[in-house]
Amino acid sequence: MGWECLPYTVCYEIFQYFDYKDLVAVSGVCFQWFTVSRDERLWKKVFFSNYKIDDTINNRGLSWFEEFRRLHYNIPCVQTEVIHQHFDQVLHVTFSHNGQYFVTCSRDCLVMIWKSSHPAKLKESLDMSVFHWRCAHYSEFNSTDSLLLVSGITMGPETSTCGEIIVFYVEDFLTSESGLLQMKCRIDDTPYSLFGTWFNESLLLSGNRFWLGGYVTATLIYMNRASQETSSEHIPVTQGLFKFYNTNRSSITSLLVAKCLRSPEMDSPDAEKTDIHFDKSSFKMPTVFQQFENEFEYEDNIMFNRDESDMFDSNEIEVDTSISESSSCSEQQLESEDKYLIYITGSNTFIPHEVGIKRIRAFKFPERIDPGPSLKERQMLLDERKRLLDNGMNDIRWIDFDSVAETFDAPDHLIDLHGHILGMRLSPDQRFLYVTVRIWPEWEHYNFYEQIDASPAVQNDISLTVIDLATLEIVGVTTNPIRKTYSTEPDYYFIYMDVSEDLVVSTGRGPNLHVWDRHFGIPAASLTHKDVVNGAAFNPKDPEMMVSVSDDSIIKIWRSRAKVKEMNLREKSDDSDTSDDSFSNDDDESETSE
Amino acid sequence: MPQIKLQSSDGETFAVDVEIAKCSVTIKTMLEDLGMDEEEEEVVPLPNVNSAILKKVIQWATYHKDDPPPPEDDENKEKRTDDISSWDADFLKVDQGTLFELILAANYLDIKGLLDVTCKTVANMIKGKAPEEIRKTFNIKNDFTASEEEQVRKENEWCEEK
Repeated sequence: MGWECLPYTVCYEIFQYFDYKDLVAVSGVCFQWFTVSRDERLWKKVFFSNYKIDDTINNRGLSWFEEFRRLHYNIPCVQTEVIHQHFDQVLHVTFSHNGQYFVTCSRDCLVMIWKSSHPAKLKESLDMSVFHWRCAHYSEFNSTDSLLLVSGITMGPETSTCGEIIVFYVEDFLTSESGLLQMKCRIDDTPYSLFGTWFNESLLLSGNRFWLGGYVTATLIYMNRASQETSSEHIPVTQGLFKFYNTNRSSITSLLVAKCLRSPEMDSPDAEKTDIHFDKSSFKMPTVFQQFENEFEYEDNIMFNRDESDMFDSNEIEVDTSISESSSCSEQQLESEDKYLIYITGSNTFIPHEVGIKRIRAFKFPERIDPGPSLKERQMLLDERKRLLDNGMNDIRWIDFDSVAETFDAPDHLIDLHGHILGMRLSPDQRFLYVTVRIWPEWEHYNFYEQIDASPAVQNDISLTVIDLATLEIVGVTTNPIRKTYSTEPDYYFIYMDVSEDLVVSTGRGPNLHVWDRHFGIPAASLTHKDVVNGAAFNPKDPEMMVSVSDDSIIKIWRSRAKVKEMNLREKSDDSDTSDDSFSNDDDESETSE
Repeated sequence: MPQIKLQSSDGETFAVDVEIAKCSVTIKTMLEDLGMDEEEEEVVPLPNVNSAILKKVIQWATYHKDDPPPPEDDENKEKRTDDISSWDADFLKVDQGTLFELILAANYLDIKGLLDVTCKTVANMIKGKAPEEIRKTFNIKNDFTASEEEQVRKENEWCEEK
């Protein structure tokens, strides 16, 4: 009788002193030890002592052994590639839906399309400065990966917020060697922080902002065709959707589209009224609905009425008619399914602190553009208005919201997160909205109306807030344990997060990149760049691959330990430049193949 | 102080203070359940423990007789192995056979303190070692079949250091 015959309970007594490595080692000793080493109680303890989670969280059917292995082995945390191809801060990264390509945008005005192989191969580099851009900062593939929306900041004074969206047809280019990249359309997009987003395969949303007076602006959201009309100048390619009123220097930014999980009746500005609660002990906040007096229905929408035709100049689009129409744009599309427009805004200060939600109901582009009043008629209207003003009628007072409220659309829901919203992203199933926030711990005692330029002090650490779009309730708040990495200055900036089936990646305007597990709400990995990280994205077809971009001009590709093993890769140091070699090798290969 | 007699598997008897013997939950329960009269100095047979080990156990129990009762186990609390007292460490400087027998005896007699300290000692001997080293240290036979071994290796792949 020897050690391999130790009774189960005694074996268990010994094994409970082990961390995961020793537990795995003893499992390979003999059959009895293997059996004991897989005891779920041991793995539960290992999981809790390594990740320090609330012990009420269950393991959703997977064993603790499997959960531990997943977080150790299947999380992209090994730096497998470091690419130095951009010349300036890299601001954004996104993947195509089929996972085969990713696109990086940078301050040097370059938009680079990469094949997501190992090593990553540069497929194309677009210099957006030919469009008089000073910065490219966002891109997004449409659902079929046939069109690529690129968004950037146009030339102008440093303080200018003018942006533009350019849509490229990329399907042929990406699928065949001889295929060309074609520009489809250009759309104004102001402020540039709206980014723009796809509504469906061939329609996209953009916006424009108009100053109304004082600290008050209006944001208009447009539905655009991702194509040009070549047969007639009277067929519209753009259509106004919503007109929002912005107070206190706030603005609407970061457009997102999600499918609707709620019934239409639940989505009107005064459908629900909830009191504001804030339970500091749990740090979880209930949903807060902004209350509006007037009910707005999309059908009653009175935007673009004639009185304001001066103000709402039609959305100018430069047309390159030489580009032929592609099949990707269907005619006179009627969306049968409602969708949510989700955006970031703030009613208290210019720092965004609220998530706005507005249902986009079925709509139709008009058959023909309404030409509006003629110049003569407009002159008459203007004269008439002047006469009325001279006779003592009050001019429109845009600053007084109540007097002009009827002119505007109100959001269906406003969720105040009481903190500076840094970024947001939908889960792949579009059920949950993940928002990175720096909470204002003192918001309750802060008087926003006295200090219009300032905002409350922010917490040093960042929180990840999860909103369930079916109930519009906040279902989880995680606080990052890493503190004092970020400045406490109120400052406007945006970071790009991503959400996969199991993971969330976010940053906090520091050199760190945080990968969270969605189920347990725990940080699963903390990765670094040399400078501020602007964003990261998971490969949608292989979430064990992640790309991150940073102010250090570097693109980093991360893979899980499992992938590293499977692909037989090595961990790359920051200074190694893999792309240079691969790029030149690639060139050599293509030359020889030709 | 009342004493009882403990008889080892090889027939040797040891006279032990009842209070010391009661650190073994097994003996304590036996005395209570069977209503053994302490006056009668009956012999308690311990067929699973030989005299050499029983001697060691009594030595340990005598030294620790005034210890406070060990704290309740907390499942999720991290367990340490570096808190073995120097007396215990010296006491456990024995060959592996003896250590093995001591663990079994502590388990059978249900002496939590002794079981804890012997398990910690064994845990320390295992920590940081690869399976092959562990087998060598404890002279354990690899009883996996070839296919089982392959399956275990696959399941443990995630933990291999590159």
